[in-house]
Amino acid sequence: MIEIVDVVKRYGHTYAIGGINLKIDKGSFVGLIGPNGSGKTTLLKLVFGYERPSSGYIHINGESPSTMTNSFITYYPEVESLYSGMKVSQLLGWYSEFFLDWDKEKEKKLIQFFDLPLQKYIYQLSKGFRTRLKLILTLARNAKLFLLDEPLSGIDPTSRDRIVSAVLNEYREDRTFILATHIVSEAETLFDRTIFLLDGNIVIDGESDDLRSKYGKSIDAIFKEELNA
Amino acid sequence: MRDLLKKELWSEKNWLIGLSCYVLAVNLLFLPLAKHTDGTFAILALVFTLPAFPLLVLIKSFLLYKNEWDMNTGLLLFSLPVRRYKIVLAKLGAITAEVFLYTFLALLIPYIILNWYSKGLYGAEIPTLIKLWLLGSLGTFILIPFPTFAYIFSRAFVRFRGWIMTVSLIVILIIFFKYIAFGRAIFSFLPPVSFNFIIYGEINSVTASTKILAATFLFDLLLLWGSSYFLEKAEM
Repeated sequence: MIEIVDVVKRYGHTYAIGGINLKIDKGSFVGLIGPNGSGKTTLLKLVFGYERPSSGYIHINGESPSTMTNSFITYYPEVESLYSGMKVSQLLGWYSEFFLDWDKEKEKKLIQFFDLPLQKYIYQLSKGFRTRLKLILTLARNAKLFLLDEPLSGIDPTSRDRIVSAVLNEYREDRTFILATHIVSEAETLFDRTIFLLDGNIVIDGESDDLRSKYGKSIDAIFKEELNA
Repeated sequence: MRDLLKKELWSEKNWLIGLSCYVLAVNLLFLPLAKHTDGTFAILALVFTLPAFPLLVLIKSFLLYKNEWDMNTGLLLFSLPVRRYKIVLAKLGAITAEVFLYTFLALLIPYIILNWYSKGLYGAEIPTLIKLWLLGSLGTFILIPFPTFAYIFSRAFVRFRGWIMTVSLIVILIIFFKYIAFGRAIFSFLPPVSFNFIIYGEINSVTASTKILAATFLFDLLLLWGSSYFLEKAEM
């Protein structure tokens, strides 16, 4: 599904990604964990095609990321990315028109599940509701690859449970998920593979169950230990 | 493409309402004076509505893109499975609609006031008004690709984007001024446009060349192609 070969991303003299090789199979749920600034967002952006590698290459189903691969990849950005002057219903209606894999039924269910006020303008929504709206834009599609960048960041614990539950509902064997987070405890149950990124390099990569057995502790505890090392 | 344009037009809605209100307000301000001067003061309203407008369009032409990066909305826009030249065309379409509508209002209102108060002493025929509208709008339209290209080109660089945009704009203008004599020659076959104005009850004709307009339009096509190319390469 995803092949990342010798990928380096440099901004001037600063290395954001320092030479990553990675293969992710179809149907995996990958947890991309690491502290802030470790390169998680950059790696996801490279996979989606928002950014291009300084060297190396990325292939998704044999194709380089481009506007054309956007038709089967969906990306949840950590930052605010919504047109604040639009109404919720207007944004959903507009955005959905572009995707053949948009599922109207799923959209309705997600709106109900997240209790989203359709008639409100986006600037009137709280951060929690804007996050939910971004999630609907991401999850209402029957995409093949889901890239989620910190969907649990800055969210109250109740909403986090809802988000984890919504993400879990979308998981199928023919869909691949990569979820980047530094809040590991509440998301680690989702991951069947965990990749720990530090300073733009992979320091741990393995099946989540294997890692738990090897270290004798939870992924969250491994993550904290590695951070303090 | 239609949906992209819809979004751009929708985002421009408030601007358009604001600009229309401004045109109305300026004309209302000159209305009492126009009444006592056979309508001629209505023409003065144009001084406050038209000359600064191209400058506003120039600024808007790159702000439409800059905002996508500054507000991170580009993450949403560039997540769409559409080639980026369509985004360039949709944004161009939205500003063009704004230009044509604003110019129409800015010309129509003084035209009505002038005709109403001058009672045939001053004014212009309807075809002249239409020609003025088209020429005025196109004259502003042809400026749009210049800052658009300069800004999108600057996005290809990690640092000093402001400087790169300014320098590339200057370079484009230098190339443009070198090209324009040659460009005018290409379109030498184009006839001038004539405008008939009524002054003291008599028709006076004025002609304007369309060669520069056509030559600039050709140059614009190149800039739009470049804008699409660099936007396709731009990182978010």
